[in-house]
Amino acid sequence: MQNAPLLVVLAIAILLVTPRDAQAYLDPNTGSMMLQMAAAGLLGAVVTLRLYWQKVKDFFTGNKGAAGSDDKS
Amino acid sequence: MTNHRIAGSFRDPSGFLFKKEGVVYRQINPSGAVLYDALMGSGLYESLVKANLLIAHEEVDVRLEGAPDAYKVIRPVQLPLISYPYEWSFGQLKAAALLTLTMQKKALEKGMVLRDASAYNVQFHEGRPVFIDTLSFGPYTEGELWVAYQQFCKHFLAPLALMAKVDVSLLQLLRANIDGIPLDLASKLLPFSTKLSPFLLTHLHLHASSTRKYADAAASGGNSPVKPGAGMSKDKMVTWIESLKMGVDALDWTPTGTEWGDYYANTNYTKASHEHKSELVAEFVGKVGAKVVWDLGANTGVFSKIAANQGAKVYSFDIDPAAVERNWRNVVAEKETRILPLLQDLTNPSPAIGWDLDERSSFLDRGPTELAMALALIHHIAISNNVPLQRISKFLQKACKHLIIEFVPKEDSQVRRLLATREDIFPDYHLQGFERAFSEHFRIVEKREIRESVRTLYLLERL
Repeated sequence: MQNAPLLVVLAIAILLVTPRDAQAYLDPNTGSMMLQMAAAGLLGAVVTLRLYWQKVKDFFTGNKGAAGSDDKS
Repeated sequence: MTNHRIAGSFRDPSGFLFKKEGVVYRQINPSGAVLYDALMGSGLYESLVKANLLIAHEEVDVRLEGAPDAYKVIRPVQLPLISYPYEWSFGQLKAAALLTLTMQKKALEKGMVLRDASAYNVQFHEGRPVFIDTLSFGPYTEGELWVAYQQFCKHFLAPLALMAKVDVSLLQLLRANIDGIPLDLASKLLPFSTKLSPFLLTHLHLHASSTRKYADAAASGGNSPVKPGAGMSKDKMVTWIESLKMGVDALDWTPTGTEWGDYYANTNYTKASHEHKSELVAEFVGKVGAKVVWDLGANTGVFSKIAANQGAKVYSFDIDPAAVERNWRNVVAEKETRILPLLQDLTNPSPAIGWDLDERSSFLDRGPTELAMALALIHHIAISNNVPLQRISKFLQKACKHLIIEFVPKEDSQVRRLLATREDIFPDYHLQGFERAFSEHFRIVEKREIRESVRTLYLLERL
């Protein structure tokens, strides 16, 4: 059991990233949780840039309110 | 009519669906009370129902005998037919994906969150996607990650990307994988170019690697550079959802080269015969007075519309993803509320799948319908697929109580085309043979020859 300390670290990590929502019945999947934590910042920046760029484009093309409108579904 | 729990409704312990005297109800268990009260109390239910995004319901006093104690029972708006994601066109799956993301965004605005993102939580009702799982919402805790993230990617993003970037027929992987397409499979099948999109790279490819990596780490007990963190802020969650939406938005598929693309242009119908057939179909549908019609082999829905004009709700089935997509686009463009296009291969219809073969019903188990239409269909099944007429009759008897069916004889140019490249092994394929075969299961109510054609239209009633 030389991996025991690592196992404990991993178990704590999983507990910490497991959503605190007691009503969760799905297995959130550790890989999916870790990816959200790791990539949310960077991808969020891409999203912000895209939305900003869309606004600039809309300004010049006269297309109003296209960016980020998802409420039509 | 039996009263029973709906077999596919067992994963979430907060409640379940049951059927009593033909009506579908949802029981909210005591453990789901907090979810239901938060949905109703937060104003989320009201705003979603007002926007036609969530199915409306009323609280009722009905109980299912023998079921565990209920906190409440609700009766949602009833849908005549439940369809499954592997029966949708590309555009329908995309609309369902965008609806799910909209639900999550609107939930967050009201301090709630979507606890699951299953494609089976979406149905199509009156020409638009609608969310049907009232118990999918739970209270949001600041800092939490999205529990349903992987499910969303497996149920929506992976199939959409595979359909758009590889082949539209890969939708059928959803039939083989009831909880969505495994991300490592999707990642393996997708072309390299999808790695150039930051959204598909992250949500599919890196997501697949991350899933594999932590599954391996958990299994071997080890050596993973996990850094404990505190989840993500609400703002980050909102942009994360937006990034999924951008990923979905970037995927598109336009039907070209359809199996039936030029069908109407190439048939031997004259304008007069087409008009006559349309009149007869309208007359027969009106005579049956059916509320629900299944149009089998509907192509892009030309005759579905005629049935809908008689006041029926029409399920418009076709084998060709391009025809279903076109039909769906017409429904959207014309704000058509009475027709639902669906993908269905009648030579291999949707089977029952899932746990105990009872989670998702087969095509036939969702019937029989009051009236089915099989127009310009029989030759494709009998001749292209070698199904004996008697077996076609037997199948259709299970599917419907009344049947409008068009017999297309060998003299017809469409049948001649089918027989041009193969041996004619169908000595019984003629009008008398057709009537003999179908008389085992149906009686003839009406029989009319279609003007300026060699075809005959029948209205049959099940024996």
